[in-house]
Amino acid sequence: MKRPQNDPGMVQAALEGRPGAREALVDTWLPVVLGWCARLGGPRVDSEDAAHDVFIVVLNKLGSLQDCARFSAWLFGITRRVLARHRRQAWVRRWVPGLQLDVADGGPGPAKRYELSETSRRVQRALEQLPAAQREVLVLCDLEERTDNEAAQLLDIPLGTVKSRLRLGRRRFRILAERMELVAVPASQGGSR
Amino acid sequence: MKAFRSILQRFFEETAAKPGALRRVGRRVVSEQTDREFSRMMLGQLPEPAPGAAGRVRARLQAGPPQPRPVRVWLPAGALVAACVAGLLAVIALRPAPDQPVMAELRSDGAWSELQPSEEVALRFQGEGALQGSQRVPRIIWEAGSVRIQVQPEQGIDLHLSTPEAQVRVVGTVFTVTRDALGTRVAVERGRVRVDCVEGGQVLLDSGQDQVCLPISAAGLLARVRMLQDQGASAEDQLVAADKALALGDASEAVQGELQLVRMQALAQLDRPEEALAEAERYLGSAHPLRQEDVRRLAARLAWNQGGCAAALPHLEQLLMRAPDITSLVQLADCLAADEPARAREALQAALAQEPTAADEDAIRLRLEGLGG
Repeated sequence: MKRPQNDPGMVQAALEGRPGAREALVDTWLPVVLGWCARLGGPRVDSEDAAHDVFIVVLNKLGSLQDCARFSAWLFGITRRVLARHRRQAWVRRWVPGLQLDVADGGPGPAKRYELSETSRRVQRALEQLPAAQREVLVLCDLEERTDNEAAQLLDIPLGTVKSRLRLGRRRFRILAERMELVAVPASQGGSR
Repeated sequence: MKAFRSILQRFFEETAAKPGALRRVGRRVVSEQTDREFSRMMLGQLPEPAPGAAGRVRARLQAGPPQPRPVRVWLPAGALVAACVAGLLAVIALRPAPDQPVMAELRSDGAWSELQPSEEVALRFQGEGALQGSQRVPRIIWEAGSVRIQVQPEQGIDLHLSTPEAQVRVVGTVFTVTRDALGTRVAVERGRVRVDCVEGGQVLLDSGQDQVCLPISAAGLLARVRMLQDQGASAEDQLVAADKALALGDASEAVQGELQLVRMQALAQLDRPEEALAEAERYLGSAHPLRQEDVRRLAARLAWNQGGCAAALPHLEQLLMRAPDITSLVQLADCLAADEPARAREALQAALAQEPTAADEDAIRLRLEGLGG
């Protein structure tokens, strides 16, 4: 999938309320936000629900955006907050008696189950156990193949912080994956490149 | 990797590092690289969002905000909540329904279309615009055409409509906004509307009243002048619009030329030929690249009426070199007949070559005979 770039013109048009501009903005960024929600939300968060909520917030708060050139970072910030809310709600639904949803086991629904093979489920579980800050940089840099600089801009943090989070996150992810018997490449072979 | 190792080795030698530093750093680099490869390979196993997910979310966004999910509550908890709800019932009953965002493109090429974003607001439109905001605070950005808006009074609806020329605010009424080349026209059928023209200030309109907000750019005002001409409006109105446009100072060279010509023509129609001629001569003197022939022709006619041959001759001779019309050629021939009959004949021959009407042709031939041609 081609990754959209910040287009201040498109954002400005949406801000000014030109016909069709908001729809174009949604069309451009929806696949990206869906990807973020699917990978950062974890198995108990419905990525479609979360992406929908993200765009409700985006469309309501677009007027408060200060700098059109930083739209992607702003969008990522909203996605992160919405996902945090969904994760909290998922946790509450899981542990507070009487608040279970209609979904019998509280686990992923049919669409989610379709997505998840056994391996990917275990990878996702390992990713889930990482601290959120490390999980974010891992998804942005190692899954979406963004540069460290791009990740720093999206997360609005210094480049050095991205690098250290990446290093620690990869290390921890590998240890967790090994515990879940997800190890595919022995350590001695991995560094030979 | 080898090159990197040799660079490191040299660095450690030169900086007198502790023994084994190269081995430790090398191990760390290898370990980090392995972690990165592993992480990338494993995360690559994660699935893409389900097919059609984007389409479903888009459809939900168009349908409006989500309904809260139904929850099953245990009986004790349910009883507690019910008690609380009963206690707060009066308060809740008095509170307005939660506001929900609205977003729609308003586009209708031919027929009238209808849209009802909430129970209190109904739109009927033919043209182009957009609806934003929320159900209680709708925002309409209207680009072109007509939109009829019906808002139920005293329901707390705060509707705003904006065009480039006007801001319209209403609390409860029925009104129509039409945007075309003349500007933005707001007509109130029932209730009261506040119209805030970008140029011209604020006005309150009651039932049966209307207000036109003029275009705010020189090009927009030129379009208004053209429409006024098509509608046979008075020269006075055309002059007012042209003066207003020229005063804005944002006109391009082409728009400015058109506006000045309109101004001269309007002055001539208003029996102010001296001003029109002075304006035309100023225009011709400024070497404006556009509309030279039209202005020259107008100047020739005005000069002819005011000072006869002597006044018109310089303009007529200029026209003869560029784009002569039949009237100018005949006037030129009349001017030259006494002193330069050969050139007068030449001008009349040129007029005949332009396929004049039968009456004009007779008049030209009569002059030719008079000149002995």
